[in-house]
Amino acid sequence: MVTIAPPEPEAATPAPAREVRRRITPFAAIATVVATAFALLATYPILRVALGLFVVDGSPTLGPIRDVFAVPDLGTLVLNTLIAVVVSGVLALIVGSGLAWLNERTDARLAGITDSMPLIPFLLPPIAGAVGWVLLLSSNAGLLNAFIRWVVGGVGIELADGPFNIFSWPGLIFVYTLYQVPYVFMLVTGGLRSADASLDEQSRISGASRWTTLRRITFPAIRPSIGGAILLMGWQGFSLYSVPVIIGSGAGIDVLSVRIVDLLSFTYPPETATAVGLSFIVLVFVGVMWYFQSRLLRSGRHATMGGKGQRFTRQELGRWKWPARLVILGYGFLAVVLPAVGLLLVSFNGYWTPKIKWAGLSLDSLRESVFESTQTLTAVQNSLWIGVTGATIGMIAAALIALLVVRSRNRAVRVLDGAIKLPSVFSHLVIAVGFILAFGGPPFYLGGTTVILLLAYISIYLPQGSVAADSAASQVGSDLAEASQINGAGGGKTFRRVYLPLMVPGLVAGWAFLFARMVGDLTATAVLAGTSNMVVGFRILQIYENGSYAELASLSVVLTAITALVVGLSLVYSRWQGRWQGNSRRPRRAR
Amino acid sequence: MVAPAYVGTPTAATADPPTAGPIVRVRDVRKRFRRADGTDTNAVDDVSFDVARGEFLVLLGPSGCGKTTLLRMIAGLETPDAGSVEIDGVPVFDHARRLLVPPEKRRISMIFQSYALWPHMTVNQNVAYPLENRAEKLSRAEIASRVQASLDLVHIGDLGRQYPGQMSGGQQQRVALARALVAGTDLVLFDEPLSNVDAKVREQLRAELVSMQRELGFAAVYVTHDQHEAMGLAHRIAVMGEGRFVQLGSPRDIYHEANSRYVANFVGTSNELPGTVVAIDASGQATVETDIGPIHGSVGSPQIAVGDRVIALFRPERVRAVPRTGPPANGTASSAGFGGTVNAALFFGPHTEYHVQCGAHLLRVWSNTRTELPEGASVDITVDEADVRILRP
Repeated sequence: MVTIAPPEPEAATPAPAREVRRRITPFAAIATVVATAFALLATYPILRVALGLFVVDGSPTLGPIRDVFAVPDLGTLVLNTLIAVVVSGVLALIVGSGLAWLNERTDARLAGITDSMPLIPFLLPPIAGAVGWVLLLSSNAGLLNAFIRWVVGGVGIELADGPFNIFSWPGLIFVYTLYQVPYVFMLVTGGLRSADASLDEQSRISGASRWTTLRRITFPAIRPSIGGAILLMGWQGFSLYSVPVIIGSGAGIDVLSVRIVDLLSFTYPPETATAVGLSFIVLVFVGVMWYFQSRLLRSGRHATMGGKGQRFTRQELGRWKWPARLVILGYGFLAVVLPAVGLLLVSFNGYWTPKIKWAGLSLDSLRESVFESTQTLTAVQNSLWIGVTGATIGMIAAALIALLVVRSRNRAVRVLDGAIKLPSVFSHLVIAVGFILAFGGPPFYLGGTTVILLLAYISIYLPQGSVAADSAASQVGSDLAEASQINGAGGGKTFRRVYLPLMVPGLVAGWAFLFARMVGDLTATAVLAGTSNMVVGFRILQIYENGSYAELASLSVVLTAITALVVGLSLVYSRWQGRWQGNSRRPRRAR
Repeated sequence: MVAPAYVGTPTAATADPPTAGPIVRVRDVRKRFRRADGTDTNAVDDVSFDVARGEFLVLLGPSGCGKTTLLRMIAGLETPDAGSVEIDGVPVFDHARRLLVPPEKRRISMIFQSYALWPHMTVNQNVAYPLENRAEKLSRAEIASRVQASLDLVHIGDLGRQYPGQMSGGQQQRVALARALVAGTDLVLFDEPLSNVDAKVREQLRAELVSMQRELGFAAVYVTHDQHEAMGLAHRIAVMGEGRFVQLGSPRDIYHEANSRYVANFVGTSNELPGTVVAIDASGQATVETDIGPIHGSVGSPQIAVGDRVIALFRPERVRAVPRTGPPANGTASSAGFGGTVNAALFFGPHTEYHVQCGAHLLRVWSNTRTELPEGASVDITVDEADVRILRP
């Protein structure tokens, strides 16, 4: 019963004896296999994209690169993309940082904003938001435009159309900006929270005005967070498809992401090689941003982060307090409330008209266009199926990998972890193209199936799930597990009684986000989905091409309802699960 | 790289525990860590010791001396690179036999520095946990009553339904104690458990811990870097340095008969006078010539011979200082005497500390008499031979 392995020869090998001794548990074995599988799933398609640039049909060629330069409007395409991403990025940076600062460091803070702001893209998916804004601000029939015309008509100014037109550069940039702001807000809030507020107080004492302090101390001190926000916006912005396909197409503004999808999905035969070449341009943009961000981090001239929870006084804004609050609320109004109202009105009205018949609003049109349309119903069912399966697989894998990383100091494990997170630095579009190249044809023949969608979604969104699982796992101090062992519980029981219950709130939240992302995805969907594997995102595109706006609004309403419900429920559940954290005094955890 | 190695259960786990013999027996245990720069360092270097039943052993040393690593190796949370460990007569680790019993099979308790209370369980659930995992199945009612008894023992009997996050640091500490004691294990390991509570609470908990340990009779291995805590708790103290036991003995021995400057200075304040050995007698008493005169004392370090450079070391409270009336004092056969001047007098309450300048040396003298020596006064200071240790520099 005592010895399993033969005694080690007592040779003169003092140091390496340690390595022999690590026990391999069933848990570690399973987790390693899972991690390897997902690492391959994440890296292989990306490799295929890189390869696809130089190899077509098995023979080396520079064809794709030639094709790219042969695209007649290449310059316009790149320029348009840059303008949209950079201008909206700068605006979002200003708005998002401003909101974060108001909410974190001044008395204009509104309870609940901090938690709900990052959820906006999940509550109202960008595709629904874009459709909503089209319904509101279309030059003639836009509901908001009509309302404004009615108001100014009351004071004697008659307008035939307008005053706003969503199908324009300002319209496009406006909606881009709305959906970039939450990312900036999230990261800058994190930065402000961990940076020492006494830096600001010291600056004010040294005679600097509030504005000078902001400009010279507060924001420079959190440069890494701002750099992270810029990078995140770049990733999202260059491959954002939902907003430009709805608004850009109407305005005649072509961007890279829309063209790539066109070449792959709406051209016959598909011009895959050119699409791969164009994706490579996206890749270069992201690479350049990544390079600058890492330079920024390495320079190290940012604030040393103090421990959390320093005491500081929120800056009093005096008579500016309520205007500041209105600005915060105004953002939520523009990003969620108004487009949602637009969608609901058109959906309930049955057709898109600026003259709403308030008495005639009903759910009939919603029922007809979603629940009585076979195609739409199939799309919703497929999306739900893929969302539930994908989020579940993704989160279980992420949790296993996170625990493996926490418990192992093995270098191979770190490499696997890095590989799994690799897709987060590539644009979704590039990965989707990679999936076509990798799995669309022989030997897998997964093109046009729901399986390829499922795999691509998991690969694309697993990094986000991983981040959620990592933070959930790292919150469980190793001493908590050790204490359980000392008190007689083995590995399995420790996992069940200590790790799992402590991780569940984080895992559930992560699951809900993955679900919302997968159900609301449009970028990868546009590349990979079709009539044979219909999902909500693709159905929205179809309806937009040749359906009615009421149908479009109705499906957007259903999509929004599903994601908002799931995300909302998961939040309630996480709160309830985390009830033992109720008091602000958290148990000490060393090491 | 990864190979199945030590798996096993205690050989005599089911047999009656032997009543004689130590509760812990550690032999030649070694643990090596690789530093970031690639060099190896011995965190614990060939350490051997026994802990008797009911004994309170304190591992004392500065941070990084290997005391926590040693404790965690007894617990099974770290695997030694060599040696063997027995708990209650049962081998739990033996490098030569490739035997390793995991922590959950060792039947011990441990209190972590962070307390390691599971935040998602109530106090009752936390304390019940060890009972649920023991081999013999207890009824629900039995568990509840033992949990309550344990909580009553540490004076938090009414907090059972609370979550740890809702309690103060001192209360959390008590929960950890209750959880460690509830299963009635014969061995409890403590990893600096009092370092996270404030001074008053610490003192109170220390006093309770002593009386509880003496009453319940469990053996304790207690890690700390605080010499006061060590003195107040221990039957024996092991002073550790660089992965080794530098000295193992009762608090009195360690304090009065230190075997090295390292130990003497770690467990208290001392005066040091460098000098040269001029005579050693058969009983180990040496005479040392210093630049302010001769001093007598007992040899503490091994292998000291006439002509060696040494340090004469004595405690400030063993020194007497009296106002000088005649010419500077000279030593007698059994005590050393030096003349000096009071540089500073610091009143601490229980005693007054005088800084006395004797030649080139500043000696500290603790006096608890009501009469005070004024600063600038000329004094004679004397120290008995029995209070001086002659040690290697």
